[in-house]
Amino acid sequence: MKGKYEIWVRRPVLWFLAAYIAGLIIYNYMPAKPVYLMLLMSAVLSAGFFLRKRALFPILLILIMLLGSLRVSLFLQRVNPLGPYNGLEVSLQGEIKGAPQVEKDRVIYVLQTAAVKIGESVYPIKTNVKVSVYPNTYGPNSGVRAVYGTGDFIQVNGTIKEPDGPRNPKGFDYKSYLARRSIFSIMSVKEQNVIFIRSGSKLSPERILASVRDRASSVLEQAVGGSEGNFLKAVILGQRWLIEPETEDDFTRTGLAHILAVSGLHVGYLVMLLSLIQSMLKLRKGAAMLLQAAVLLFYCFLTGASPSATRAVVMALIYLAGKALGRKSDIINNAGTAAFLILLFRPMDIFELSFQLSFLAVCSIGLFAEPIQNVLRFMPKKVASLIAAGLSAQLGTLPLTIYYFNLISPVSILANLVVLPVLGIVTAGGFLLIPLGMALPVTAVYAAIPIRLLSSLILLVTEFAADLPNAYIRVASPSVFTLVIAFLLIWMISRERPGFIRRPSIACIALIVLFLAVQLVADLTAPRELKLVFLDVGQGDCCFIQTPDRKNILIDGGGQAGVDTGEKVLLPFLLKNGISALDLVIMSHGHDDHISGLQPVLKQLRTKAFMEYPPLEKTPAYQELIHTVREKGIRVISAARGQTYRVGNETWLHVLYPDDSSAHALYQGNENNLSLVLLLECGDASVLFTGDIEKGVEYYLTGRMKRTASVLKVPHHGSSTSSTEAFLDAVSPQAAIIQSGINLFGHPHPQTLDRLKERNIEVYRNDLQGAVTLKFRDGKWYIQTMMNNTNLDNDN
Amino acid sequence: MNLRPLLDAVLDFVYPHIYCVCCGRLLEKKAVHGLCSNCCESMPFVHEPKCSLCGRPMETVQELCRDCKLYGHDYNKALSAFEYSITVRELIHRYKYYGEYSLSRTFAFFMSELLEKSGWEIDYIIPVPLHKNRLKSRGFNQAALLGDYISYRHKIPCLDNILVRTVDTKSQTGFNREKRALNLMNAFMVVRPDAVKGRNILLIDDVYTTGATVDSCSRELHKSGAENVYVLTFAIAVLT
Repeated sequence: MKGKYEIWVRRPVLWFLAAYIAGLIIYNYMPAKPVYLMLLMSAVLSAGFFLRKRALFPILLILIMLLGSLRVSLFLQRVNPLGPYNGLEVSLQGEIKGAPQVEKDRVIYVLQTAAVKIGESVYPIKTNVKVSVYPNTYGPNSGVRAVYGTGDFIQVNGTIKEPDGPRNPKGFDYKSYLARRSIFSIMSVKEQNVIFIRSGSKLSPERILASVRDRASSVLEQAVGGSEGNFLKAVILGQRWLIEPETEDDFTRTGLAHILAVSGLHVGYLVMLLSLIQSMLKLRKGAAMLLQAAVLLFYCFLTGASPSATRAVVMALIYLAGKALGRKSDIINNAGTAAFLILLFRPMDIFELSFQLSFLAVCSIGLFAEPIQNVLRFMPKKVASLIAAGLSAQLGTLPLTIYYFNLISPVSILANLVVLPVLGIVTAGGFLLIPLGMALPVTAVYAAIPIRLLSSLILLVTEFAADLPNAYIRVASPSVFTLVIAFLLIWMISRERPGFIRRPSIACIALIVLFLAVQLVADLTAPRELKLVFLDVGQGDCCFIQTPDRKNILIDGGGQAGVDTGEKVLLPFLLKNGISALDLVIMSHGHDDHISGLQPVLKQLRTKAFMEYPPLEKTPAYQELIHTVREKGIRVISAARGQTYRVGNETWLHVLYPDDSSAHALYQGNENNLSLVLLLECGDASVLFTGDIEKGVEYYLTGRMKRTASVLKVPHHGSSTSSTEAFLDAVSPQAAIIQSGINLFGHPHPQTLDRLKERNIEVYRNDLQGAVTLKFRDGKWYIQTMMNNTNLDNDN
Repeated sequence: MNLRPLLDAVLDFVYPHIYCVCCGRLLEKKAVHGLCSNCCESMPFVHEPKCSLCGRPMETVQELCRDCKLYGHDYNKALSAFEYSITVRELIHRYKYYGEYSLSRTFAFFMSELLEKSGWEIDYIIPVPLHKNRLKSRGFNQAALLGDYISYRHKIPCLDNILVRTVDTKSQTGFNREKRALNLMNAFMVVRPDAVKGRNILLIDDVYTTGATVDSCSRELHKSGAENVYVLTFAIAVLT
């Protein structure tokens, strides 16, 4: 008993946290029924009774791990109650939860339904639906604003839809993202389909929060206004959606995105402000502590309780409690405790990017802020501590930001040096401005001038930094193994490295050697296969090819009006799948839906060669593209019928069409008829790429096909004006891929589908199944789609 | 049921001791008292020779120190863990005036080690009380926290409702021996004499300077019929 009192073992909470997180993650990827988990738990528990006391700790860890799994299992078990009515016209009645999000062209409400009317019957279904309300008329002055507020009861008539999961490999999983927020259905309607029923009770906590939020936000609007006002609303009130997407991109590219989230900085200022007030009011310790805790919690909910805000507030509460109890709080242990507490209540937060970044940042502040601050001793202490915190947070989150954003920004250190101290003043000023504006609106306008100037300084600096040459570099996502090594390296150079490591330099070298060795082995043992990914780029073509010897080829890049396909779909796909350089980029023809997306790719990734058949009609998109090709000094290959290119080890690309004479004959004023027709051949596998060719070209090719192809990219998004019967017979593929999305042309045409079906050709469609991945390995095709996964084993 | 160990375990979980309380460097894993080995070695432990009555360290081997020879004491025996050096003074100030209550455990750890070696038979632990005004302004009694821990370690009840300070005495700092004794004249009172009658009492305080405070307490305890009164303090001033 005597010795037991001296438990000075360092941070046991981290052990429990690790076990719990392991439970969360393992279960997420290997789900089982909750019943089995509970059985397993009781088994471990009873084993604990029989085992000696020495086994207590590991058994506790296992139990906590299982607890984590149980938490996730309860979460993943939930089903969408509106699932059976997916795609149906329904009426929803319910209450608006949380703050409405006002965006450029729509208002987003989260509706907690009380009743759902389907046809003539009404069901009392309780679920959350994300409703996007668009103005009745389009136009610059259509006036998007939140008509309804938190707690209002409304009725919405529209089509209920389940959100999409990832449509491309490693793409954004909108479905899980919303499910983590307990939202399973979405609906888009026009304003006229929303009917007001009644406003909610004024005294509900949500309503009170909403009214404070609205008043604070209107103070900022009146006193500051403009883009600076929106910036302040995002920084102080957590209304991040008010930031223009371009501005947000600038912040991301300069490594400043973290300042847009409510986090430790804000909470720190709030605590400082409160201590000041309490010392002025001469409050008693206990009362002061309670006041601080209450204000912090209020602020947390006011800003929408985002993971980073919650983290900061929980950590502040633990810190304050420690002060009351006379206990010193250690930042890392504090973070561990906070993470454990938060994950107990919101287990799915572990999969939130902002949760991960926030905790990594705070841990590396705990590890590195002090040494950095010691270096910065020549500065004023307050500034130095801000900068030290910013820099150390960046160091710790670097591997993860590379992994998620595929960016390294060399300007980031400088940008943070400039912006962080200014942001400190702006945040503190903003906190003071809000109560001032509520009391004395006129005075606030004058008081706001310096804050406004400093905010616009931040915005200008960010914009300037983002526009600097080489402000940011695109990099491919490292593997999870690389991430682990990177974090271990960071751990080794910190002062808290494991005790048994005497010399960090040797440990680092050992880690790097291990890393290289594993990479080498992985490289040597990876399967040699031909891989094709027909990306879902909406209405448009895009196919990524990787030859067995890892040569990367891209045919077309998609492109849709109003969507930056290259930045939003193609680049993320390539980078997140570890591809940062391309050996060959091919343009089938010069139409926007095939080349718009190529522009950012050619601009930002190293590309060796560019293949085209020069179009006759030089569209703006084409001119821009060819300008980039010349600027970057990419080798241009003019393809023509009869040529064969060796694009990889035993991988050949035959050009079947066009040459100048046939193109001249078949052009008919339609660029589609100048599409490159390419046959990819790799061992026994052959894939025919047809671009947007029409009947005429098909007739021309039908007689000249020397061999069949196992896979066909259906011409022209499945239009009825191509895919003629004779052509299909001549190619006689086993599988066909239709690259189409939502469109006004009726692609793919039912006739085309019929023709394919008649010939027993497996059809894969981007519009229904998302991206289609084909792998050819050991004489066999393996085909996977992102949605409704169906596997096809096809003997060739 | 005693919830104290559970509470302490939870608090240790949330607020573990990771850095040396003295120098702020990382603690070794086996550091048992919140001090790193460097600091622990340089702490001014009270070594022999020391006065057999008040426990003050001395230059030469003698039975009693000059003070004890001249004035004597009202308690039976006293011991202190450390000399009141600059380092120790800083620690005590952090503890008493800056609200780092957690230091009490480091202090009390060394005190209870000492108690174990002393071989005293103790019935009750009584911390030197604060006047209620002082308690209100400081928020806690520094001696009571030490007493609590030692009581917990040695399974001896700690009674803090027996002895009270009835006079809000001025701070002893800066007073000489006579003034100190005068200042504390009749400052304490035993409110439950029956509880101490015939018992061996251990008085706990943080610093021993001239012994005026504990003498005053001991006098009252003896008056109430206490058998023996022992004194245990964290630090003792060295006479110059």
